[in-house]
Amino acid sequence: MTGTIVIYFSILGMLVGTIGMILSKDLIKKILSLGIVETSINLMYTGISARSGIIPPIVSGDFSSAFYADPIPQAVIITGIVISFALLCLSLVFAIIIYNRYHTMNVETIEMIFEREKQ
Amino acid sequence: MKIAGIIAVTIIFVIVMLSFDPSGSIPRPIEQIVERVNVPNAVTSVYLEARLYDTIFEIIVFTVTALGVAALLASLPVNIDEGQQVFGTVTVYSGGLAALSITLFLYVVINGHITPGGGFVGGVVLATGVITYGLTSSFKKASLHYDMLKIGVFEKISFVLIFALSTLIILLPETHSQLLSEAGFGSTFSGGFIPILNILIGIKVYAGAWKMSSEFISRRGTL
Repeated sequence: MTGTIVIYFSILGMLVGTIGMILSKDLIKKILSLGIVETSINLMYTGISARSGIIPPIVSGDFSSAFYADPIPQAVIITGIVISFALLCLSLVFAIIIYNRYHTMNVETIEMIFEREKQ
Repeated sequence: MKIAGIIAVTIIFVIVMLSFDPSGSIPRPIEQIVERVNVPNAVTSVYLEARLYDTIFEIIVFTVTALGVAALLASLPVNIDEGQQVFGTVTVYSGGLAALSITLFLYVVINGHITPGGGFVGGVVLATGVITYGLTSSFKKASLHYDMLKIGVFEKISFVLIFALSTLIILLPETHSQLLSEAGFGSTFSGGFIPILNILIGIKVYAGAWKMSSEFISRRGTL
């Protein structure tokens, strides 16, 4: 039950983050929206692992009676957390480089300057 | 154009929400995993034994990112900020926090296969403690340890060792499972190569996280 509610809320969070990425014109806000999507995906995997039980999957003695959480989605999302950290770092570096070159974070202004430079 | 995109995204997510079936069959693989690997922490046994390939490629991605951040930021000028603004109380507490984070790093990394934790968590804990010390007390003092303790060399050695040990585990699964089944269930020295891999991953993640953060801080300046 808990896992199901968490999964529905995480899909909602992904929707909010994606719409934020489309609507915002600021590069930093776009990266923050990407962070919201990544966190929602982590939450979704946690919800999926909580469907079989909410006890942490660290076994002590008898494990036939207790309802442990599913360890496989949690192990997969450990990979996902590190990758999202790496993605955040690299996109921030590119944002810094773009700011140093165009002195703005607005994507429309950057596109305009880029088009003018190309001509 | 934007409105069309938003409508499309909303429709896709509504379809995903409607097609999700909460009453589907739920697998319970924990018994098989714990019996096979003979380690109490089932998550560690999945990502360091059953799905070791995932972890290897994750470490490659992390290494490439650390290299990329350092290489791309190298062209930008370093912001030399002599007068770092510090607050007395925070300075006292951040030193203690750094010491505490070193202790917690050792505990989490060595006991990663018994208690919650592991290499990735331990590395991030230590990096957070040291970065907090650098931001609030003295960034110069904090960044001195990277060269003095030769963390960069340790990072490269641990990267090579992680590869070597993972290759051994993948190539000789019978030997490793024999090593796993011989040790007592739940003791610190059980788990075969898993605790050693945890320690190496902890060093690697700490070095990468500190390197990336210090590159950012030295360009932007502290508080």
